[in-house]
Order: sequence, then structure tokens, then C-alpha cells
Amino acid sequence: MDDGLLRFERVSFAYPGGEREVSRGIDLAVVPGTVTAILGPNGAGKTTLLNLALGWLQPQTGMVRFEGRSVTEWGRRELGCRMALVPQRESAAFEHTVLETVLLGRSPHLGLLEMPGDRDVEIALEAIARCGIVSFASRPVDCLSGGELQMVLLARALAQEPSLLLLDEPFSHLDLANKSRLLRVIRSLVQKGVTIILTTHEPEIAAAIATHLVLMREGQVRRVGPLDEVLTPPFLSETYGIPVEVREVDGRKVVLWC
Amino acid sequence: MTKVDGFRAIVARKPMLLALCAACALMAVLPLLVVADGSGRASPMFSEHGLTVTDARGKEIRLPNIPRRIVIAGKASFMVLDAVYLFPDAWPRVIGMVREGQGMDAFLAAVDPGYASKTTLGREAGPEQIAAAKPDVVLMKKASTENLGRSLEEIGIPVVCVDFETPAHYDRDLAILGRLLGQEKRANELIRLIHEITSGIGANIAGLDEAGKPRVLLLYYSKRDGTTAYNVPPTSWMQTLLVRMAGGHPLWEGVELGQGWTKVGFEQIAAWDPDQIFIVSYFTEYPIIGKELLADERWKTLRAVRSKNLWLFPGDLLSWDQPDPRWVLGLTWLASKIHPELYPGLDMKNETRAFFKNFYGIEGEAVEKNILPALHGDL
Amino acid sequence: MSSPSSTRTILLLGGGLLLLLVCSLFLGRYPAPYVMSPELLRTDEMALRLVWGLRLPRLIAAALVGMTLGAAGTVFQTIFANPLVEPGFLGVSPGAAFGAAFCIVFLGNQALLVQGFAAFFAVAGLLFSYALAIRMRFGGWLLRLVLAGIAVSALFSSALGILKYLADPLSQLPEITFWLLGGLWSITWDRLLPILPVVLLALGVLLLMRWRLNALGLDDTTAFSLGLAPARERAVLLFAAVAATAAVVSIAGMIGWVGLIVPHLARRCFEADCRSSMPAAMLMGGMLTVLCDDIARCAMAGEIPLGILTSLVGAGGFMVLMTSGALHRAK
Repeated sequence: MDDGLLRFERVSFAYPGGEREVSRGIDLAVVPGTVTAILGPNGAGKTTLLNLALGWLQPQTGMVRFEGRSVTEWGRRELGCRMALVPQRESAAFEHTVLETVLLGRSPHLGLLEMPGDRDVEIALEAIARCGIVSFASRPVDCLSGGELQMVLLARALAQEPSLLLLDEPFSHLDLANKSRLLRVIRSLVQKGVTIILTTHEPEIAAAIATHLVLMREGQVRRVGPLDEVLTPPFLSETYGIPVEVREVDGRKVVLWC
Repeated sequence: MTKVDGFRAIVARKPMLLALCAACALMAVLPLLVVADGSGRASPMFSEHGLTVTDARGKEIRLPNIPRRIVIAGKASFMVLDAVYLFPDAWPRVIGMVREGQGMDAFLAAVDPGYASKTTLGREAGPEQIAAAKPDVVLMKKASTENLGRSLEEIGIPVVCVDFETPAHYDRDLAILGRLLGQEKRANELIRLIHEITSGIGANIAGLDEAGKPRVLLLYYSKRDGTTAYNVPPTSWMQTLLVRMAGGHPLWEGVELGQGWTKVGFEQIAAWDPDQIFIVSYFTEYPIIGKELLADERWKTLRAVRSKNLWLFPGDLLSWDQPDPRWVLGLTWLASKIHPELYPGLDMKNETRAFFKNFYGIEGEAVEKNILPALHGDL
Repeated sequence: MSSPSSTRTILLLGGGLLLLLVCSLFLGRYPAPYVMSPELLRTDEMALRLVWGLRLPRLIAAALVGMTLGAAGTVFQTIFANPLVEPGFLGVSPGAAFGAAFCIVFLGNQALLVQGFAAFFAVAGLLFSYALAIRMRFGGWLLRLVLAGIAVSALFSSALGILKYLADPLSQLPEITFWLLGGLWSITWDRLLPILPVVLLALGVLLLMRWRLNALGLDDTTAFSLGLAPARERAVLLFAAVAATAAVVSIAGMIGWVGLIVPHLARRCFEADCRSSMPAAMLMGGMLTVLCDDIARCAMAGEIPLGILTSLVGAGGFMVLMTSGALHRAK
């Protein structure tokens, strides 16, 4: 599809009663098989952008299309089988086990009164294996560390078998080892043909994983394009409002700031 | 996976779910079976000489015989119990009752030697506890027929409703008891006795117009948590009716907030400034109340107190103001206080002796020893 | 079921409840306190009528009350992701109590009418809370619902206080008190049958949607991203739970603590997954209520209000449960 898997067309959004539009005139197209990083300072409207993509928020003007169809026109289950979200964090009120939590990812594939069957458990276990959390699959989620929980949420999204995966600040609570693990999992997903959109406020993350970059500030998309074209000192300085340098070390981009 | 396959898969994998559904279905079907069974259930055989009673609900109750085992149950059942004791022949047939306080127990134990050995029911006795006493009939007030009465009837125990709340109820309900107990003569005699007293008093005050009647206030004195409260009864209650029948003008008619005692403050009492005040108390000793009220500076300003028209409502083991047969005594006393000019030389002790002789059939030592010493209030 | 062992335990629980029901048929005050010989059913007509006409409907009612409160408690706690809520939450129980008292004071104490009013005001309590929460101008959805529930409950409770003040202390106040304390002693088939379809249907819905319920406890956005319509599906489950609760409260009065304690117990003994904790909560709730009702009708010559017993056992059990680590799931 030429016009992209997911397309924002002049999308503006403001919360009811809110004075300020949190998204203003956004135009964006995400090409299948790419990793798009949405980069910007805190409060730039990155999460709002993901919620608009999900169809959870409805734009006041413009339209968000997924596979050519407005996301709000998709059936709930239909879309759930194609697009999945890894939320920033999740608090567990009860002691659900990792497997139970990941199984919930099968919801869009099952009817209103259906229970997950053996096949669903298989898929959930596969997702758990891919995220490398087999060792604590039967532990309750409320006694996991932040990094482990992030992997559980990713596994749940994978159990949905999506073609588009949205990750909201997936790296923000992770230590180095966990960041590296998550990066490996994301890369393996890309190889399997999953399209990825992730938000982050750290340019290094974008540099490490993204093929495309969207720079956001104050609800507006400032720059869009392939990583090499957009991850440049002037654009980053403009986005964050401070001087930023980009250096290359052993073929990898490193962002310096002070 | 198609929908049908999906369903089969659920069925195959969810024996527990099916078991629960089956249990639910079973629960749904059981009552139907029972209802079907119930419709065909044979009603108990009635002899030719069966007894039919129309009770206070207007419901017709058929009994095979005059009941030999009577249980009195439900809320405020002491009113019914005391009325049944107006039929001395029925005493041995009362086999079970709720024993409540307020001197009722002491009174019945004093008059009926067999009283102590009767079954005691809990205050909230349910149908099973009552069924265990194997009664031929259960007597109760209207308030209990909806729940307790209904479940007793469900298991085939006849329920007869009597209310005994007002003088009019006494006429109706004594007749019902007379028919039920096979004591119609006694019932007629009781009704005649009551009418004799009420019509006598009625004739005395017949000439008075409303404006000429003393303005009367009856207060129920209650002390809870150390605070004293004065309450007036609803317009429809026995106390209000008694004041009217005795030729007084009840000032509190129409002020009730609900269907029970309504609390009134001193300001309201002062605003009424009645000619006469009658104090009722069920739990606090009268001497204490009398002392307290007469010592109260505010009360001294009331017209009734200044003219020495503050009276403590009398009673024996039970107070005379309630819907208990003693209301007849209460009425006589009230009339003599509201219109003393009409009752010169009335001796309430003699009235009491006559009442217990005529109504309960007890006299002599039983009255002198058990009843008269308990007399209290401003006789 | 996610594991065969919990399936077995739940079947065992179901068997236990049935056994308890059958045994309870022979417990009572007739002909003598406590145990009645089954032999009597053949020889004593009164015993037969008592067992069929009073004990059986009452036991079924007790089981249904417990099952409903347990299931509804699970629904409320899961959806509000809060282990402290119960079916009485959102103005449901205070609404029912108010409706019953209103009917008793102003329209007379007729069983079906009182039941109808109780059920009507229970649902009205929920709708009122919901409408208030929608109009409230601050806070997240759940916070608004909780606040609206508290406000509506307080409103009904104070209105109930006024009604108690107005009530006839002899005939009406005891009826209202019965409502507040709860009890099943007036249950007969004709009281039980009208609520049976509503309760069974609602319980069926809750049972069938129990796996779905897990996902409905997640954040709105997350539930939405999993292909659910969170608002609509939650409303369906809440309505089913409230309808069943209103129906059982209308015949039993306020039965405290079952809806709060039983879901905890079920989660502790099984797992948090509603696939097992929902049926477990239903069966445990049924057993708890039947047991308490056995005590209520057998222990003394008068009836002990059922709500007092369930609160006593529930609150006591809650304290033990919350302070003991032994029951904690070891996996």
C-alpha cells in the first residue's frame, strides 16, 4: 500500500473542555515493516498520538486511517487482531499470573462468551518465550520488577498477533540490560514483518532502533523522515530547545547534550 | 475456528460450566415440580361440624374443630395474649406465646397457675419454632400476617388475625375470639361490659360542646441516654381516643410526624398551655417523674401545674393507657379527672376490683395480693 | 479452567454446596431443635410440608443470595480494580433498603410490593450514581463513580433515617429493621419464584462472561486496545450484577459482608483469574450463606437476623484472612 499502513490526515485533537489542542494538524504516514520512533520532550503529545492511532481518542478534525479505513470504523475485535498497544505502565489490583495476563491478549480473537482454549494458551506461551520470560510464567505479576512487567505487557500485545505494534515509552523504566533485551525482541519482531511505532523522549533509543523518526513539540509534528535525515543537531536542538550534538561512534549515532 | 466449532470446543472443555448450568436449571425446575405438586395437595378433611371464622383481615378460616392448642405469636402479641385471657375457659388451651416485659408476664403468672409451664417462643420466632409446638391455630396481629402468617399458612397451620388496637377493634375481635374459642356467650358479655362503661361515660359528657371541654395534653415521658423527652401519640391511637371518649379536647391531634410517638419540645407544650396534663411512663418510676416535673421552674409556669392539674396516668402491673383490656379502667379514671364534677366519690380501687372480677374472673386474695399492691399513678 | 486441579476443586465445592443443602433440609426447630430424622418425612405430614414448603425454598434462597453476592462482589471488585468494593457499592443496597422502607411506611407491608420497590430503588441507586458520575466535573471515571456512589448512598441512608422516624414503632419499624439486618425466614415458593428468572439469567451472564471480566479490570485504553468496548461491556456486567443483587436483596434484606469477603476468599484459595475465582466465589458465597442461615434458624427459639451472622462470620473471617500468610497462593 503506497499511502502507508497507518496514516494521519490533518489530525487535530483537544480534550473536551481543554483550552489547548494537544495535537495540531498532524500529517503522518507509517510504512509497513518500519520502526517509527516518535521523539519529543515530555508533554509533546506523543501518547495522545498513540491513542489517536488506536481509535481510543477521536480527532476533532482530520482522520486516522489504518489499512485505508478510518480507525473508528473498524470493528473493535477486527482492529484488536491487527493493532496492539504496550501501555507505559499497568498497576495490577489482583495477583494474576504472567500467563493469565498474557492470555488476555487473545481477547480480540475470541467471542464475547468464549474462553481461551489450548491453541490460545500455545500462542500465549510462544509470546512469553519470545520475550524471554518463560522462567516466571506462573508468577503473579504484582511481584515482578519494572523490567519484567514491561516484558509481560509486550508478550500480551504479541499474543494479539498484531501487524502494527504501538509501544508507549517502553524503555523509560528499564535498566541497561533490560533495554538491550527489549531492543533485541523488537528487532526480531521487525524481522517477522511487524510494523512498530514507539514513543520515547530519549534520542539514543530512537537512534538505536528506529528506521524513521517523528519529532514532536507542543502537539505538532516538527519533522518526519528517515532516521538519518531527521536525527540531526539542528532538528534536535529545535525540538528540545537546548543545544544538542550528534556524533558517530563505531557506526552508531550518539547524542550529546548538556 | 468457526462459531459452531468454537461452541463444541467450549462444551468439550468446560465440564464445570455445564455442571453449574445443570445445577441452575435443576434449581429452576424444582420449584415448578413443587408448585405442581402443591396444587394437587389434598386439603385437610373437614368434619360436618367444622368451624368457620372470619378474622380481622376479613379472611375466612376453616377449622376442623374448636382449637385445643393455641399459640399466640408475632409482633406486639401481648395485646392479643391479654385479650385471650379475658376468656378464662381458654387459659389451658393457650400452649405457647412470646413472653414480653412490661409486667405482662408477672400478671399472667399471678392469675394463671398453669402459665409458667407454657412454651416460650423467641421474640422473632419463625414458622418452624411455632410448628414445633404443634398448634391447632396461631393468633397474631395484622402486622405479622404478611410474613409470619403467610409462611405458617404455607405449611397448613391456620392463622387467625385479631388486632385489639382501638375500642372498635375490641368489639370486632372479641367476637372473633368468642367464635374461635366456642365462647360466644362470654364474648357477648365482655362486649356488653365494655359498652356499659363507655356508654355511661358517653352519656355523662353528651351535653358538652367542644369549646366547653377541658384542653388536655397527654405526654409519654421517656428518658433515654439521660435526656428526657415528651412525646404525644398519633391521632388514631388508643390514648388519643380515650381522652376524646372521656370528654377532653386532645390538643395534639394532627401534629404527628409519623405513625408513632412524636417528640414535642417544652416550647410547644408552653404554647398549648393546656388545662390538664397527663403523664404516661412505662419505664421510669412515677415518684421520680413527679418530683422532677414539680421542681422544674419552667413547668411551674404552666396553667395545668399551677391549678394542680398535672396527673400521672395510673396502672397496675400494666399501664392503663394502652390497647390492653385495662383501657376500660384508664377511660374511667380519665373521665373522673377531666370532669371531676361528674364523678364524686369515685374509688378507683373498687373500680379495679370490679374490673378484674368481671373481665378476668379473679377476685379476693388473688387481686388483693397480686394486683392492688402494684397500683401506681395518681389514683 | 486454566488448571485441571482447580476444576476438580470447584467441582468438589459444587458437590459440597449440594451436600450442605441436602443436610440442611434436616436441620431446624421441628419437631425438636436441631436434627430431624429423614424417617419423619414418611410418617409426619407436617414435617413433609415444612421441608417442602419452607425449608427447601429457604435453602435455595440462601444459596442464591450467597451465590449472587459472591459473583456480584467479584464483578464489582474486578471492574473497579479495587478489592474494597462490594455489591452494595454505588447506592445499590441503600437504595434497596430505602425502597423497602418507603413501601412499608407509605404503601403498606405487602410482600411483593415491598420486593418490587426494593428492586426498583436498587437499580435506581445504580443509575443515579452512574448519571451523577457522568456529570461530575473532575477526577477519573472510577474516582467519580466511587464519589457518586458514596454521595447517593448517603442520600438514601438519610432518607431511610427519616422514614424510620416516621414509621409506626409497632408494625413498621420492626419490618424496616428486618430489612436492615436481613433474614430469610419469610421465604416461601411464592416469594422465591418471581426472582428466580432474573437471578439465574444474571448469574448465567456473569458466569459466561467471567473470562472477559479479567480484561475489563484493565485500564480503559488497554482494555480498548485488546479489542473490547470497555464502557459497554462493563455496563452489561454491572447491570447483570446489580439486577441479581437487587432481586436477592428484595427477598432477603441487607446481607452484609458476603459480597466483600467471599471474592477475596475465592482469589486466595484459587487464583485471581475470574475463570476459577468467579465460580468459586459463587459456590463459597452459597455455602457461607446457607451455613449462616442454618445457624440463624436453628440456634435459638427465635430467629437470629441473617445479616448479623454473615457480618460476624464475614468480618471475623476477613481479619483472619488478611493477617494470615498461610493461605497465600504458593506457585
